[in-house]
Amino acid sequence: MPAPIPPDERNLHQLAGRFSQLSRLGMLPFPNREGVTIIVKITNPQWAAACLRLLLLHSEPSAQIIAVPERRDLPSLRHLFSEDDPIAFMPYEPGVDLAGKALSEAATPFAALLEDRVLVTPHWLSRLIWPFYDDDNVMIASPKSPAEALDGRQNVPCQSLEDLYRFVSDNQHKEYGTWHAVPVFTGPCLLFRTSLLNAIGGVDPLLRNRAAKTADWCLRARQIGGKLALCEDVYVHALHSLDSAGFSSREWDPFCAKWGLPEMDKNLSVLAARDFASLPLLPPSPLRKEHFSPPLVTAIVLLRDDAERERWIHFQENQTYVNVHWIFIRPGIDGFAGWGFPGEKSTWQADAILLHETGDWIRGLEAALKLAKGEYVVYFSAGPNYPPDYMERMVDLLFREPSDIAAAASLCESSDIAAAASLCEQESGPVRPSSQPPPFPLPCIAHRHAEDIGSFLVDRSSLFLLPRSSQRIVYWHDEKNEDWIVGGGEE
Amino acid sequence: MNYLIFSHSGWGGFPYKRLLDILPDRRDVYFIVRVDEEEESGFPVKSLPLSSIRTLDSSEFTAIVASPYWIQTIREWRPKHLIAALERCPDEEETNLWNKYSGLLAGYADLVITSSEKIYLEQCLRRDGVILLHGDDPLSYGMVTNPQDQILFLQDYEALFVQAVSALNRGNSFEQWVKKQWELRERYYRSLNEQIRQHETVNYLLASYLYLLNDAAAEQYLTISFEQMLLKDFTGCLHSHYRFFSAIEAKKGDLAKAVRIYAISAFSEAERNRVRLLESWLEQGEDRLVKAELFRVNEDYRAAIRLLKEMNSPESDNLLLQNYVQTFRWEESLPLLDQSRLSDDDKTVREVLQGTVHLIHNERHLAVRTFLRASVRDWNVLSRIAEMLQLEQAANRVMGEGEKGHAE
Amino acid sequence: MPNNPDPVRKTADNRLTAMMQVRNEADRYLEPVLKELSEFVDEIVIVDDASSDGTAKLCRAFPKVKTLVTLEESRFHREWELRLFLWQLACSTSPDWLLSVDADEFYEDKAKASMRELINQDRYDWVGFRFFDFWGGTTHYRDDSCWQIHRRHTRTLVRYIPGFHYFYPMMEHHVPRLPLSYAALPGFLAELRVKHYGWAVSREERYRKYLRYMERDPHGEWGSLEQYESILDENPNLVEWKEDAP
Repeated sequence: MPAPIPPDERNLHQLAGRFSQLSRLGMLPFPNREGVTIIVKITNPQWAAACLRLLLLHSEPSAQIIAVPERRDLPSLRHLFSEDDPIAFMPYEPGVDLAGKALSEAATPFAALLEDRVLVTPHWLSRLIWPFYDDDNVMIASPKSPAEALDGRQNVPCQSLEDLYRFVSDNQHKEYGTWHAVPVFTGPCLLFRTSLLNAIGGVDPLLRNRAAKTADWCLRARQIGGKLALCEDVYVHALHSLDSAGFSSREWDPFCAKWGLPEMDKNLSVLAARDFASLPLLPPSPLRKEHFSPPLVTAIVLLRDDAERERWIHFQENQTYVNVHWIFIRPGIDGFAGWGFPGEKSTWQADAILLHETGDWIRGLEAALKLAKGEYVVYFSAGPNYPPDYMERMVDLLFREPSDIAAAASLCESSDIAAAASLCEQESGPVRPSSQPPPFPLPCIAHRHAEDIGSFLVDRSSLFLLPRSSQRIVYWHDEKNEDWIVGGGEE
Repeated sequence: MNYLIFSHSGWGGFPYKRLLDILPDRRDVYFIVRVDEEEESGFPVKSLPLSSIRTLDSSEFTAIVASPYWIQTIREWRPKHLIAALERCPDEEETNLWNKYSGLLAGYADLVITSSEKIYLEQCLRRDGVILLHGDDPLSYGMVTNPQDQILFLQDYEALFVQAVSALNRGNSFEQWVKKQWELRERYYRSLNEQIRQHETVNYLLASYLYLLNDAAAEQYLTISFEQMLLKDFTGCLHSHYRFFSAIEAKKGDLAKAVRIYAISAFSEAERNRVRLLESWLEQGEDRLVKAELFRVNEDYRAAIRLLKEMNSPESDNLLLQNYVQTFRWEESLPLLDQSRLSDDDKTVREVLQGTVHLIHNERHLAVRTFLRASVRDWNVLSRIAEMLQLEQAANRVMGEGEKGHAE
Repeated sequence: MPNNPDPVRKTADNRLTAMMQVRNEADRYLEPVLKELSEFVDEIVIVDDASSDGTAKLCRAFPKVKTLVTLEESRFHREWELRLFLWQLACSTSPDWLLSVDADEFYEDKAKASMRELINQDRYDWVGFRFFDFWGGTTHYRDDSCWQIHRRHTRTLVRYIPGFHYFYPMMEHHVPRLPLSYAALPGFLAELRVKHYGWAVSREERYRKYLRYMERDPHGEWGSLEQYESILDENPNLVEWKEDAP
């Protein structure tokens, strides 16, 4: 078939009129035949159920939805949907970038990344995709929403879904087809060309909050000449979490350090004001395959004496995490009859056993960290009653937040807590500077395997880590079997 | 959970219709007054005549009571949980009666809800478990699906209400949601303060929420408020503003300073006696008594009661009694009165409290007898009998609404 | 219960300290003011705002002037700072009561005689007096629409309460002479009079004062332009002063 003759200007007006008519009648086909992969990050089952239902209702039939759990304790939603619905539910894996994994496997030219707090509206996808055809440089498009910052921010006060639909219906012809390039997005609903992932990779997992990760990714897209299209004619509603602590400039510190900014302001206006595109190109964050399987964890076990060995064998047998590198540290430099050597056929796993002079725990710990191969390090001792999924949960905390140190204070022995409190006061006096984290009993923490994680302290035969003030620390809590009502989700 | 709603003036004037749509864990929801058929189809409630509540198993119900005049009915019926919905006295009601029985109803409630921020703050200082049904944030903070399968988006205070009531239904603590609301209000007033700088009321409210959150920054904003009051010639702020510093200092633990601040604001004979008592306790190392009393004189009964309940001495019991009386927890105050040696005045007070408790429990004869006995010592007590009649009339009015329409 | 050795309010043995800011007052009323003050106060605290005449020497001649600070650089145009400095200086002497006096103010005999009774009580923390603006001499005061200060009370005598929150509004002129915080405390409006001789000067001097006001505050930002203009009135309404009048 011969190539179509480009219309001249007299035809454009007529063609636009015909297009509008077809659009009003709902007769316009979706401009993309290969489909769109929609990846939805699930944090709240109630929100997710509504989000997925609306996606099924308002997305093109060719869209494939992949639901990716962001927490380990989410109930399955499979039973809420029929087998014929184009939704796949990925199983949860601790420490794994499931959204990245889903993206790396997406075979469609376009993909959308949403959070489950987003509630899409009719024609959202068919309108959001058009800027990519209007301009080849458009790499990412976003609708307006209450969760977007800067230009894209719009909140439609609505008490119900009916109100939302009414708004969309009343406004569907306003700004129809209008979009403009913006400096950055920070919101939870993006449509993009999957080829972008090859050029700049995925989001940077070390940035602390979702908005920072999104902003960073968008800015890297602009650095390679990509445009960010804000669609004036698409509105999606977004729910907010009561747990959100509001803006914290500290949460933006890694982003600011990466992009050479002094500090982030509450309105994120710095993101619009600065000319990021002209900055030197930042390296991509490739979607690494090693992030798609549970990361290696080094477990450092602090043994007091050989009698504890049985306990560790039992724990190793029952604990649920699969990819562990075990290092035992034991005082006393004499032999350890009955233990068996690593690698020998034995009932226990030990990749390394370190002996040290009695009392010289610090040397033992420093040596253990040099030997550690895992991306994360988890400490154990005989005192606390570790549940079988302890390592899984600590890895989860470190990966998801993301954080530098995870602390399970509720597992600490009371003697360790008392010693920590006393050590606290010795170090800094009765009124500690708020920027200085307290010392943590070592058997109750895990951390990323990094160069300078802090300093080890020994006090009254208890072992502690004193973190650096710049590190991000998260605390685990006992999970209760709560029925979901509202809440959850991340800001 | 089943819900039973007791309104004040019928369905038309019921201000919480939206809440009925978002009640968590719901099974049946009944409304004690006739709901128009047309409206009933729009809202998932069933109307119920008052006489039918005896057929319901109260242990399976959470009651939401929107009028203080249902207090006798509620005490008799004894639902599993009681939510008191407090509002300002309507124009047509007698203020003293309304406020008194609202206070008494709140004293029995598991949770208090109100759309008035003034009542909300007052209640936050009296008790645990208060939710404000008002917010300034236009964003959606969650959703529920109502019985008609409609998806409803929740404002922040609605989401907090749902969480708190759900926790209540399960017997769990809801204090995290109460605290969350303080944080939201603090954030709101901080943001307002950035726009309208140096406003005495905004700074005062910001200081109040910071105080509730045990944040020492409360002092800074109270100072601004105090200065602004004086700059604008609102000079009657010694007790409301200056004295509040003493509560803040008490929380911070600087009791000597706190007592000094109180002493500066103390002029009446009773206040000066209290200063001497506080100074004496300070000298004896009775820090908790000092703290509790400083909280009480600043109307932070909640903090005072919390402290005093951990103690067990004649002085702490005496203070606890005063706190209970002032927060309308009269039934709890009676055992404390019984274990003290009572002066004649105290005996009169005891009988007035006891009489009111009898009245609330519908023990009319006992109430009258107790008031009459007390009136021998103080004839002013006879006014309580008149008040009794007022309460009965008011109760009959709201109950009449409950029967109106069902008889038609 | 034990008596507090450091009560907030004493009902006896209260010391009265006068506090004053002065600037080139040697040839005006300073000497008689200090002489009269010395009769009924216990101590006098003075800040000399960089006087270039014999003001400081004059002050030092009075034994009751226990504290005198001479500023090297005038703070006249930063009135808030000057007031605050004087206040802090006066407070540093651990006073019981403070009487704020200008170098041209004279308390009537009845007021002087009442001072001890006014301060040895615990019912109020400040006292307001009626101030009269004498005009063109020391026999008559002015009473008309712009000159009515005598129709209300001016707070000049205050109890010093350590620990109370004191603040001055940060203004350049017309700063209240005492911290605004006293307005929150109970006070007493005494029917006792104070003679202000600041305007009991010649017409030429009054004209010079007018020019100074207009120079300092040409748009009436800190004071009333109408009142500034009224300084030049040819025939103001004057009332004869009577001692011991009710």
